[in-house]
Amino acid sequence: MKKLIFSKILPISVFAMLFTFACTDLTENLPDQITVLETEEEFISALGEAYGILSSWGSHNSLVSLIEVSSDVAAIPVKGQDWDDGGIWVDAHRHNTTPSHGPTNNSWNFLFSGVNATSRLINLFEDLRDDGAADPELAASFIAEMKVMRAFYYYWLIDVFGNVPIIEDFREVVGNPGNNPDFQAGRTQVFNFIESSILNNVDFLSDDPAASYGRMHKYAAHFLLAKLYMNAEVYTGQERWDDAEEQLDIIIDSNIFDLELNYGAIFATENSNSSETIFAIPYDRVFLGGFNIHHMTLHYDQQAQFNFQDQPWNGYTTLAEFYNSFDDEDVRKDRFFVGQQFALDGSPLVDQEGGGLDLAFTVDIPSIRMTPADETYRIAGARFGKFEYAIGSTPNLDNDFPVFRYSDVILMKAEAQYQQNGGGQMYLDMITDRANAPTLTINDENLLAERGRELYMEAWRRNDLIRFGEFNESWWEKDPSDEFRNVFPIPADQIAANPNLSQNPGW
Amino acid sequence: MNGIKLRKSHFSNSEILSSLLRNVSSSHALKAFSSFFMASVLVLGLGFGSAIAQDRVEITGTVTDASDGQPLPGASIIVMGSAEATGSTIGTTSGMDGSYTIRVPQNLNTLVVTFIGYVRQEIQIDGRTEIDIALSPDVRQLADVVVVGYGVQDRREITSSVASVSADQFNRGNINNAEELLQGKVAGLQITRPGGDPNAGFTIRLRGLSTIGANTEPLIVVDGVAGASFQNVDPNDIQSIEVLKDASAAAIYGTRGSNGVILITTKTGDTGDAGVSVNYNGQVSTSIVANRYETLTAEEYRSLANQGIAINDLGASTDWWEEVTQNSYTQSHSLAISGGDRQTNYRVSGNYRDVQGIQKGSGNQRLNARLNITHRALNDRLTLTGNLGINNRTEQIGLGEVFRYATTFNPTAPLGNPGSGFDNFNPLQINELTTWDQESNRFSFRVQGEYDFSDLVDGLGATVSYSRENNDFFRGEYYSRDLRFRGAGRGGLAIRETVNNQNELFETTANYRNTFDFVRVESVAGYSYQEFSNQGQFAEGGGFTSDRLLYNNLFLARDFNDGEGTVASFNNENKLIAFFGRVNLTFDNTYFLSGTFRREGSTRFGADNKWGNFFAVSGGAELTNIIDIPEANELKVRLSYGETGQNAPFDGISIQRFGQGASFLVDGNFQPSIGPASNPNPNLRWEIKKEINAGIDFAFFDERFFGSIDYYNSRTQDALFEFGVPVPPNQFPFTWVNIGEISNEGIEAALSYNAIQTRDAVWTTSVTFATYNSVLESLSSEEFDFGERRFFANVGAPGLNDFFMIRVQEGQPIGDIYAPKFVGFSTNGEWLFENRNGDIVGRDDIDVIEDGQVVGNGLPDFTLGWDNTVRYRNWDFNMFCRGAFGHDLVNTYDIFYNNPTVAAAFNVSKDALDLPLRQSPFFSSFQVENADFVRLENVTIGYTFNISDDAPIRDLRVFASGNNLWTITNYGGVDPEVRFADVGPTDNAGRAGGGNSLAPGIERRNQWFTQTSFTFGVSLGF
Repeated sequence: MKKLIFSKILPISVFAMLFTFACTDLTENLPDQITVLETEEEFISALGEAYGILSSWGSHNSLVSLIEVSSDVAAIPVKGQDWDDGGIWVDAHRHNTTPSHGPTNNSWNFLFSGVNATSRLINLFEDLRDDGAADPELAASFIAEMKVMRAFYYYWLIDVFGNVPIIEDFREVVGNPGNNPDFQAGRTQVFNFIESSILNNVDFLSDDPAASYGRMHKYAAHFLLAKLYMNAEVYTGQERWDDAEEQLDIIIDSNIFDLELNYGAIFATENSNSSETIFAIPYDRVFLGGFNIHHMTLHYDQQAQFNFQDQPWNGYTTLAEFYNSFDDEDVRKDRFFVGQQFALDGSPLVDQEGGGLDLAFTVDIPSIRMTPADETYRIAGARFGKFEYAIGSTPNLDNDFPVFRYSDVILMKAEAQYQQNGGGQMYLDMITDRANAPTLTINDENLLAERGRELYMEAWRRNDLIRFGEFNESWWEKDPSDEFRNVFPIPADQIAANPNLSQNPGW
Repeated sequence: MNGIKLRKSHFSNSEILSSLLRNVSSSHALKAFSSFFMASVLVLGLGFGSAIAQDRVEITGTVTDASDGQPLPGASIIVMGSAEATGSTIGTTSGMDGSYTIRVPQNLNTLVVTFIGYVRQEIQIDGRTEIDIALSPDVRQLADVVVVGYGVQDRREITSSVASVSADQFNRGNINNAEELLQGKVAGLQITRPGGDPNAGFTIRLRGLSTIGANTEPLIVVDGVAGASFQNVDPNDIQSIEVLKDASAAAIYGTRGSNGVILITTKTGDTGDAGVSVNYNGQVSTSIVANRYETLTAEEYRSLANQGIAINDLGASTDWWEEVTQNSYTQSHSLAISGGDRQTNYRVSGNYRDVQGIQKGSGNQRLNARLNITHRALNDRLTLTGNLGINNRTEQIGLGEVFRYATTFNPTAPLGNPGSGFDNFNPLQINELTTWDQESNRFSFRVQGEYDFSDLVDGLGATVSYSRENNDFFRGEYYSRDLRFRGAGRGGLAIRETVNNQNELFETTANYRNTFDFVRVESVAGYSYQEFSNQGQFAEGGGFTSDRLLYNNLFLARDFNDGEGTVASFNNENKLIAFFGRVNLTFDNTYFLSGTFRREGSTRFGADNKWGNFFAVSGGAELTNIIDIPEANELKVRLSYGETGQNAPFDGISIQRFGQGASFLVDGNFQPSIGPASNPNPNLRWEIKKEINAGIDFAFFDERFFGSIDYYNSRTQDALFEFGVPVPPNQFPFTWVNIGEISNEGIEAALSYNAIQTRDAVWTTSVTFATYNSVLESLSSEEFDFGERRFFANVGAPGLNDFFMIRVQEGQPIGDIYAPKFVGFSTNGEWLFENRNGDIVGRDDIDVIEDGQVVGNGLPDFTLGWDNTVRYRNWDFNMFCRGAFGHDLVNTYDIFYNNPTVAAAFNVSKDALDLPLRQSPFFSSFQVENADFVRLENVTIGYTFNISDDAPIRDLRVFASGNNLWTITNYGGVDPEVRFADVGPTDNAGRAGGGNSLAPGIERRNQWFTQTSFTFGVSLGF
């Protein structure tokens, strides 16, 4: 019987196979996907990834959100039902976060996306150069640009996370990082890496900031290096004030940049190529969305004030103490929303869901967790208006975000001189004069306070507080915090996913 | 293969043939295989008979109905083994008085008596010349032949877990989708569509959750076309549905069989000289809202102010629920013409359905035509089959948000109030100022040629088939310039999308079937080539001067001039190529053995991992043939093991892809950037499910009590999952990897009992029962560590973002709901929870992660279905109940609105009137509810008229039916139905995401209200 089965089934199976066309080609065909970069235009487009990542800089739930909310200039108070969000923003403000805090992980991913994109592009252009597919000079300038841009992302990593892995060559670390005890670098090591990345490449960068607007150029690199040196003591324990000043002088002596006469011009809807801007994210409502501070801070019903396409979220407020620290004549004090607000047609706005209360912001905020028992729970707190909000804005503002700007150079120059020899008064005066604010005697307290008034919500406040040793002090709705909180924790998700990462001390 | 034995036979009485064929086709329908069935019946006697014809003995007698003794005219009596012994089948039919006469060769001793609707009998002659035969009505209608992958099989020989549901067992009443026919009918198969949205899709889950990253739905096979859509078939055209439940049964479909396979067989015309028959079915239904989340009336809302609760009294009194719902009407008409002769049979049908939803303006209209035709030629050696399906479906989508805001919008707001504030929109305006239309045109055809090679090799046949399905889909949405929800900020918003999907399938099979002594062999081997291609365009833009043209003229959208419009297109394709085979061996009609193999390749995997091998073995034994079991007609034990696969979920998944990113400035001009959109994973390979299944099939007491019981245990390995990977060194934070291991275990039982079984009255009661246990064994590998646990399913805005409801942890059941444990309210109305140390703390002191605990599970422990069919003379009655037990649901409405403190912004629940709570919303065990339910799904009562032979119509039945009549549950939300996947929050006009199957058990606030339907229908035959 067996014989019968085999003598019949076998030939029949063969027959069945013959009967077919038996195509077995399984090559994947994807008509709508780019899987390999080929043309020079595609190379340049690839470069954009290093910058496109920055689009979330000005969004809610970003690194900048976390930095500012954990400082003494901003908070996202809970307003009844709104903005509890698992307590993450209250925790951020009170320095009570944990390694599983969502925005911390977002920040890590954001910065390492930048590191990865730049590292990957460096490898890509090196390969293209070596293969003769790209012009060597073009490749060299791209590589230098990417290395300094990578240093930019590392600057924020050293500042907020401290001890982080240094990814230089993407090709060497594919897939599993394995058990590598050297994977995570110490803060000093990261410092040296950033310093050498900039020093070795700054000469290959464009020296025309206008032509390379929105991209890394020579003066932005010097600014970045200045920042690194200014904070050197925090990062490495060693002061570098003289080095910082040297970098700042290169920028000042170039005579390319100047303070705007009008403080508001820096933050206007059309603020591209402001004389004060050194490095900006060139936000655009069409081409580069992601900047929505107007939604983050304004009240729901202020949609009618600006005819916004979408409704704002009634979230971020400033602290009363900070608002009150501005002199009444200070032009910068006008850049908050306080008191009664009006619709575009001039009619006074009311808080419709808040029981029809007048939409009049109070400077004082009853608590960081407000309930309907607090009468002003939806309208407490001055709202940010540093940037101009154009009538009819979409969720994506058109204003460029000046990440590095000249007034910071001036303030750093003042601080660097003051730290070395007690000088710098002249530079501090340039800033207060422009703001029509009272002259201040240069000292630690005034320098820190003035930096706050000038640069609040521009991502420097946490950095400044730490450098001046004030980050662990108490302020509104925040008790003194432990020093280990001067760096963020390595996010729990990252430690879980990568056995080579160890937690920052104290966390 | 078809008609092998038939061709050799010479029928002395042509009535036998037609009666046999009728028998076959009415019990189970695939024409292509009907004669095979007959052949196997005839073959049964082989090996017992000798080859030489002998003298014949005349036997006479009467055939009667065993239940009432009435004579049965037209019963078929054939002599078993006569075809083999004499070269022709000897048979006859009973006359008008039930009498028959048959001449039986002396060496043959068995008569086989069959009649439609009665239990087949084999009678030993044992020298008698007068034999009266009493046939028992076969009310159980158990299929004799079951459609399995690439063939049919005698039910008695099946060794894997296959459930078969025939048309008369389908769900009844206001049924407009093929999925609804099966709801609750098959143990272990869960089909859900919470709420009453007529345009929503169904979630189908077989035997728990065996895959998490890839497709979780079973493979649908329509008339042999794998990967077809349920939507292409009108419920009226379906003859039977088979569910291949275990890996052994599904392995022949290898790659896509992991979640089971559902085989749909459509109705065909009768073979033989049955003439032309015409059937009309028509029904009208009306539906009303059955359940909703109850919030306050305007009066109750105002009364809150007396309690010192802040409200926002806008002066009017509006019942928003009344404004946006309607009593809906649904009608369907179906006309089918079928007929055939010895050579050709056909069935052509047309169906029209007009379905209204309980939300004003929602509904769909469907036009469906189907032609099934079979033609035999070349002396029956060649059988040609053609199937053609055309389906047009237009849909008017009703947004779930209409119900959400009807529930939460201020009841004192006047009708025209546009709403204000965050997440606060006028439901009536959403309903009236939104236009969302969809249309799909599906076209499918299949041709099959089947040739009998018996001349060459006895028992050999081969088939070639080609099929193609084409679906053109259109979506148009328009949101008015005046609609705050969407559109107002954009100056009107229009969306147009068109998608084309094509699916081509070419298959050839060779079949071999023969009997050697006591061993019967049935085998099939084949090759399959399937190609899917999809392409589409999408455009979205606003800035309209007028709402009048809706989505029809995008040229008028200023957004495109301003660069703010969005356009996109896609085009992708993938292939599946397979070689497969199956051998079934039957020993002495008692022992059964089956082996299946499929080697399949998919374009989606990495270069070295494209091919996967899947196999299954199973065996069984019919115990009644081995030992004597009192009252047992059938008792088969079976055991199977199989491995099935799961294809990757989309094209290009294993390779590095680049996507367009944000623009950046190049020399002052914006240029789009290109960046990686995925990490490559050339090692990506098939997900494999290994399953063991043990079962028994039984029938006792003259087949009055019958059923099957199965135990299964499966383990999914190399599960496809989009894993969060460390960002250095990876380029992209997610990679598709083979990582997970999921286990499923359960017991399934399907039992039926013919409690009453007479000619006048029949009562059959059936129960299906299934248990489930899905455990995520692992989501780590040597390379990647899942970590201790992760959290999914954000509660959402307002105020509860970054607050997750579902914990996923290795070694734990899937679907654990995680929250702080609620213990009560403080005297001033604040939340109180128990923390990890057992202390009672307030909300500010609770850490939702560290103090949280598992407070429920979203997946059911077991499900039940209970069906009763009663027939008394001309009356028929059906009642069907269905239930799921042991699952919990997060009542997200309760989280936000069972709270008086939000009353200034939203309407609140009825319960909030008495709730001492005075603190803003928070998620805890307080809103996690047991959602056990039993639902009276359907009651139908019908009457069949007696029609005289000379009447112009042949039969007439009228019926009335009710669907979703009663639900018993303690769940306080909208629908206690199991939620298998979470679509995420849809707050402030956001859109729902894809379902996350790791996060079951959440009822979101865009849930449609449920509906109850009443139907009246008529079916008419000419």
